[in-house]
Amino acid sequence: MRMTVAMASMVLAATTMVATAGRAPMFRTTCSSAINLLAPSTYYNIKLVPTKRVPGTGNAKGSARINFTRSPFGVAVSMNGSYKYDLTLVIKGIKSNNKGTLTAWVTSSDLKHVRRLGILDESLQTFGKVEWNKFLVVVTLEPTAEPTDMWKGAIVMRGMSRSGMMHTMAGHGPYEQEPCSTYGF
Amino acid sequence: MLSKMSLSLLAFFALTTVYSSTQHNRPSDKDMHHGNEIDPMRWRMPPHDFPMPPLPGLESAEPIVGPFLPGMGADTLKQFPEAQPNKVVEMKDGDHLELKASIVQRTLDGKTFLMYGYNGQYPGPLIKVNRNSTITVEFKNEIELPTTIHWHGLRLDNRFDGVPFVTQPPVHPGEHFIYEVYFPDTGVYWYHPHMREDIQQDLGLYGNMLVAPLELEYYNPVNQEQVLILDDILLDDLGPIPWGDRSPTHALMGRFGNVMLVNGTTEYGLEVDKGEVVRFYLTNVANSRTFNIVFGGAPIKVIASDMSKFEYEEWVESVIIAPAERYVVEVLFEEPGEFSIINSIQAIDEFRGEFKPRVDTLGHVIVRELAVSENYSKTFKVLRENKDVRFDIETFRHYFDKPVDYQLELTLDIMDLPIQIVRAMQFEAGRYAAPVEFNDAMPLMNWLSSGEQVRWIIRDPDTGKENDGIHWNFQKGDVVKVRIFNNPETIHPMNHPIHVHGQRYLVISTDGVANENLVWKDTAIVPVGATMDILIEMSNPGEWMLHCHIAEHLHAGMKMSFSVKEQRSSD
Repeated sequence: MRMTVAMASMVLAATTMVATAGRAPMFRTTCSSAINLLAPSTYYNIKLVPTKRVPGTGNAKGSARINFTRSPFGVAVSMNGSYKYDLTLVIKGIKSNNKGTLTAWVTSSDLKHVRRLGILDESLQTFGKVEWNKFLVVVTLEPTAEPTDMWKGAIVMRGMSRSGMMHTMAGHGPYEQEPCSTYGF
Repeated sequence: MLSKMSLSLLAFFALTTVYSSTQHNRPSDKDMHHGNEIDPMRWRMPPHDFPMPPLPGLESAEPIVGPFLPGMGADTLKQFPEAQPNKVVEMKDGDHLELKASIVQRTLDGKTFLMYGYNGQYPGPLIKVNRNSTITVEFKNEIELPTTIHWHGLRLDNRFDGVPFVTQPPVHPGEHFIYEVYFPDTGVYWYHPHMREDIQQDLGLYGNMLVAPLELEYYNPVNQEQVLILDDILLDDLGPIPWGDRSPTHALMGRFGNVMLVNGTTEYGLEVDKGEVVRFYLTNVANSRTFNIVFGGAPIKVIASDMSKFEYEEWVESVIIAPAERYVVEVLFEEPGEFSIINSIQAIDEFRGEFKPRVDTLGHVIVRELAVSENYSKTFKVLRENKDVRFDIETFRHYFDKPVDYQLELTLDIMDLPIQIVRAMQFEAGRYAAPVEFNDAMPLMNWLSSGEQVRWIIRDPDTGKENDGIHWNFQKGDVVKVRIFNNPETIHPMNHPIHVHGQRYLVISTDGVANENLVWKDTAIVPVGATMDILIEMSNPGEWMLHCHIAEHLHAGMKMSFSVKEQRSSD
């Protein structure tokens, strides 16, 4: 009996070890040789697109780089569980001679909460922090440099956090027959 | 204690059942377990965080592996002893401890069922030793599965690291193994099986080791110390959702529990006097869950992690702790009242594509009106620079800018998953993956993915080798810079807590941003999309592993090895 148990146990363990050997994958990631491990991933970067509402800004390009705020835990999370990010915003290609101050903002995706990140400097950069999981980044042309709770000027560029691409599965993929309206979408 | 014969019989029945369910992919209708009308041995849909419709066509699907529960084949629960809260074992250099893994009765969330325990306790005995001690542990396996003990974080003799087929043979049911356990570093460590952790650890086989410093004033003065093991377990009304027999279920995201445990119980409580400073030693032993712990708004100072203190103490709002990590924090309870210890997260509802706040209460601290007799709040309010740690790390600082010695990429393959799951994954892929997932966002998809259908990968891009195919060679004294990249462009990226056996390492930068407050680690979380540079001090000879500490990812292949030789070869 002892032998039976020991042998059977060994079979259990061995089965686990070789279970996936020799199987063709359905999906593989990009070949690793194509990945530049020396460059930080741009996965969470936010692409800023011009609204073309302000003359001279229609060809502007911009992005907001997202990093976790420094934390002893490697990842930074607030007391309510939201990710805490440092956001570095850079734009290029502004040819505007419009009067005003380019100012960066972040807002919750429902626009109920707005925070001013700051004024873009001479090299059209600014830096700030955000503690929301889903948010929008907005660059506006403000009439003055005075801090305000909400922008007053025209929106020059806008972008969305990667998490903004989260989408209900209702009506999509394996749930394509599932009506979105049933779930309030 | 079970006799050898009854243990063998139990194991025989367990394995017969495993064989049977593997053959027919369904357990027998006969209720072999606990006398319930519904057989808890049958697969059943795990509880969901959020309501969602079943995947069309998979309404009655089950994992391709068979179900496993401890004590299968046992007549009644009562033949197993009721587990007891753990005891503290104070040990001196040269002492001997007997440790037995066995089946125990547990009652959690109002349900009684079988789990495992070391010495019949939950968690296993808390072993307290002084730094530089060595103890022997005579281990006996009385569960029905082969097992070993890994002494997590200890830089001990390689022969006792507990890795099956690498440092020792598996300890089969009824067998013994004697470990010599050496404690070279101050801090909090833990022991757990290194075979089918997804089952054995989840069922309660874990315990802490608290290594006391030899130096005076190594830590701040506090009123008391508490050792807390954080865990979760996946239960429904019938008890635990079965585990996979020949391979884990939940291979995509790891098995998240829905019942939170502190020291193996749902009822952790502590009473303190007003003004007390409590030092908490936190260990996360969950299979996959990363916790975000808040102490009811009381101020928290983080002072140490896996294998050392930080260079500098820091104030934090909460403690983010990934599987297998440890953090040592001090908390001041200044005002009387009740402080809830909570896990506060933004859970993902994958079906709706939304984050939703979620709070689970892990325990309570009651602060009495009575003021504490020795008040350490003044010391608490000062952040200390740990010059001993800075001095130690200083000797490694000139390596920080060295070229990367090795690169690793974290990714996965999927094989033979139901097409509905693949379509769901394809829909999600390219949209958004959270840097750290704090909940099981797609419980059905996750449950149906076994270790036979998912292969998590550590890849060395310089050689193209993967997982067990990677074996690096070092000499003792080497300081090795490894760049780990968690590729977000996969069909299902996820965070990975990377554990290095037998050595210590520093996380020197993440995404090119230098770490300004270093601490010696053995496990650190690599978020999705992150590039993390670590510096490993190869100080301990032997054959060692590097792996993801999400139990299901480890069993789905995410591991590699390296050897550290004692001396350089003559050439």
